[in-house]
Amino acid sequence: MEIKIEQKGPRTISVNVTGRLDAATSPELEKRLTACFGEGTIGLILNFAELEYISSAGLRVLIFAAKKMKSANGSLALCGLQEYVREVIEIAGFMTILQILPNEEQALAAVGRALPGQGV
Amino acid sequence: MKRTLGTKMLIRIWGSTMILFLGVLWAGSYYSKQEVIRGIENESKNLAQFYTEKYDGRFGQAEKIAGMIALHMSVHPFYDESELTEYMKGVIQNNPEIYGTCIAFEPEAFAPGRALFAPYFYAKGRELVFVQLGTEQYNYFAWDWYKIPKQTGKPAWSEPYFDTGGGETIMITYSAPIFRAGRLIGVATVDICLADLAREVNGIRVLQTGYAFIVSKNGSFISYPDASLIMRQRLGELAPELAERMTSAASGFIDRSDPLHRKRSWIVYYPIRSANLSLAIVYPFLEVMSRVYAFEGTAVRLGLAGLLTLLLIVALVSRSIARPIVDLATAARKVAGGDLDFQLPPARSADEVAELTLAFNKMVHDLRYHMAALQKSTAERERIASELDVAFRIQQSILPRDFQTFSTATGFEIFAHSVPAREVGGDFYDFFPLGDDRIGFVIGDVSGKGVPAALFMAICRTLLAAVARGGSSPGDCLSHVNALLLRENEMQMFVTVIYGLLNVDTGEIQYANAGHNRPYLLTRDGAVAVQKSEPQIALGVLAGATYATRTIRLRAGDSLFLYTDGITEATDVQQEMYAAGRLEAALGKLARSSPADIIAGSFEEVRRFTGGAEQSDDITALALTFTGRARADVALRFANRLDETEKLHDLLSAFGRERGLSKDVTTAATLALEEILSNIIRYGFADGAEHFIDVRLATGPGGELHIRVEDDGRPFNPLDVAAADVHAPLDERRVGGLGVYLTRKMMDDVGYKRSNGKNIFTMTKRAKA
Repeated sequence: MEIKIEQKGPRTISVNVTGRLDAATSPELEKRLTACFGEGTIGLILNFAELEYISSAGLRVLIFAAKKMKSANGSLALCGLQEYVREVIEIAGFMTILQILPNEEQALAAVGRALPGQGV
Repeated sequence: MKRTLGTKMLIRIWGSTMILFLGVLWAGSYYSKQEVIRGIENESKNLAQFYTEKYDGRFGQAEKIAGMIALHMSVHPFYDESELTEYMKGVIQNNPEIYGTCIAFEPEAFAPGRALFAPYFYAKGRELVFVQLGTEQYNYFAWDWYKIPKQTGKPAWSEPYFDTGGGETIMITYSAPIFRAGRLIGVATVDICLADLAREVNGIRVLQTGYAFIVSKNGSFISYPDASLIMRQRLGELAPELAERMTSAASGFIDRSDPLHRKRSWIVYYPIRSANLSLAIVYPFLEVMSRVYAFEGTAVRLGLAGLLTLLLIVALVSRSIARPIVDLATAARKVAGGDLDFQLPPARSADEVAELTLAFNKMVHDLRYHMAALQKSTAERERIASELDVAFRIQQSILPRDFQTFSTATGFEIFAHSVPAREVGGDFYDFFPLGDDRIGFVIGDVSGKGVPAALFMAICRTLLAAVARGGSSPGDCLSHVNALLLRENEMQMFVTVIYGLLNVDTGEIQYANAGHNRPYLLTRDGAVAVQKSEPQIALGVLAGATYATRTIRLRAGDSLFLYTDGITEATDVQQEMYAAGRLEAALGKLARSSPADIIAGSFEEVRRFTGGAEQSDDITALALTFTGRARADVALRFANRLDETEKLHDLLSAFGRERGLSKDVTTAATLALEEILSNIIRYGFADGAEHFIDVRLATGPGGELHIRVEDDGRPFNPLDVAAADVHAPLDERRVGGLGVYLTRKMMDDVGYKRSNGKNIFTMTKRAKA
């Protein structure tokens, strides 16, 4: 699994995850996100365009991130879901608690709208 | 009465004769009656005319005499009394038909001083009687016979009267006025005695009961058979209409009831003009008709006798004519009842009945012959049918039927069925094991149908089965069989064949197609693909032909469908063919079924299409499914460390690829196994020691994946972890239990049991339908 983080705004980042988010790899993502939250990130875009697989471990990280953003009055958006990942997220009932956009531009825009004055 | 031919003839002939006779009789009677009436009319008229003319003459005579007297008196110098008397006597004596005469003078006309002077002479028998009417008692001036001529100056007849004081009899008087020098001096009269007249008229003979009578101008009876009515009764009181006619001086001939007897009669009446009288003659109807009736009676009696005789004759004749026909009818009935030995005696006459008899006899004879021939041919046909039935059974027994034995062997399922168009057919199929790992299958179609094709079919099948046992490739086998067939093929028959070999371990099929319909590959995903190869000629045609072998590979769950053109060329009642299109559509629906269902389903589709149309060609099909059940399970072992789950992805990917599983099956299995293993590793072991978890993977023929997880930890059902609430809002979302939830959702079946100190957890994922 590879994680690529890009700064999109003063406190907004996009995180591109490649490969698989399973019990083995999810802790890595959680660690990286925690670090970003510690730096004051309140706008988070998770780009899963190259994510092939997600298990409950991965979903755990998503819940963690979502709760964190909510409590910080931030905004979280997912984008680029592949079919299988989307299916798993749907079955787990995550569609109702996460913003899901087709691509990164729209995800950025959504986050920007949610966080006006952030210069995104 | 029974409606036999004889009765019909009798009724019709005699019946029409009788009607005709009755008609003639009636016409005759009618016309004869008319004749009689006409005769009577003529006779009566003649008679009446005769008498009226006679009496007219007599009255005319009286008129003449009176006229003569008047004239004489008018010119002759005056007579004295005795001269006058002599004159008058002379008149009577010279004219016997007159009864009396009187010359009555005007007052003082005969001699001065003689106021009344009317000498009257009448004949009483031979005597002449003189009466002086000029008396005080007999005031002749007042009488009509004097008054009227005096007043009118013209002679006139009086009404009939009874001359009391004069003639003492019924009379009629003609009075003529006497003029001298332009002055009326008196009246001369002449009397006619009507009693004589009446007697004469009464004496007229009219048949037996007829009669004649005379009436006067006012209808009084002058002459009548009933003398009491004379001068006392008027005809008008008895027969008003007749009286009317007679008193109006008409003549006629009428059919009425007569005044005397009140019976129907013909009455002819003529006027006696001179004296204003009318004569009638009565002809009684019954008497006139009695003659006619008598004649009629005789005629009817004669006729009846004749009719009865005719009845007898007609009856006899009808019977004699009808007898032969009745005999024919009886004979026909007997023959129809089954008695074919019946023969009619030849007819004696030479008419149509004889012809019919001849024809009948010939017909019976021919019928006997044909019945015998029919019985023979029916027996023959039955024999052939029973032999064909045996042949059918033999043929059916040649084709292998034992599908079950092969199915229990691992790796494949097979089913085939063949329905010949006639009792025996030219299609065949075959399958047999070859070595440990291969199964041979054959389908063939001999040119033609029926017994010749069936015999050739038996040869082909046997040759191929023998040659195939040698183990050569399908192509080489077909080349060999071709050579053998050509060696002894006088009938120039040929056969299209597919011979294939399936490797039950690998699913690889090698086959050769000699001119036969290309088979269909039915994949477990439901696709239907026709297996094309270079066309090769049928067996038994080309000497030295060689055949190539083609290789295809079946995955577990794939099937091969072989058939003969009896399916694609099956026609319905509108002559439309079933054709490849419909077959492919049907196979599409049956692709994932077992071979038995594929065959049954495709046959059913064809049957439904053709409806009631006759089967024109043999229909055969064979279906072969590679089940891949020969594959063993794969065992994996994991230590109870969370990082062990990293191996899952690669292991399962490789396994799926090797077994040809679909991607969603592999991915779901990976996820489920990761979740389950994670839970077991986290919660299943309490002692902190190293344990191993055994995972067993197995695939099914339909591409399904069975997973079995076994561990020796504490009793723990991975499913017991509380399920997550997937509908809760974010704040209440918990991570725990998501794994279990996902597992349940993504796998089709999950199960747990504890056995022999082990937890055994199973799951199954099926390929998408």
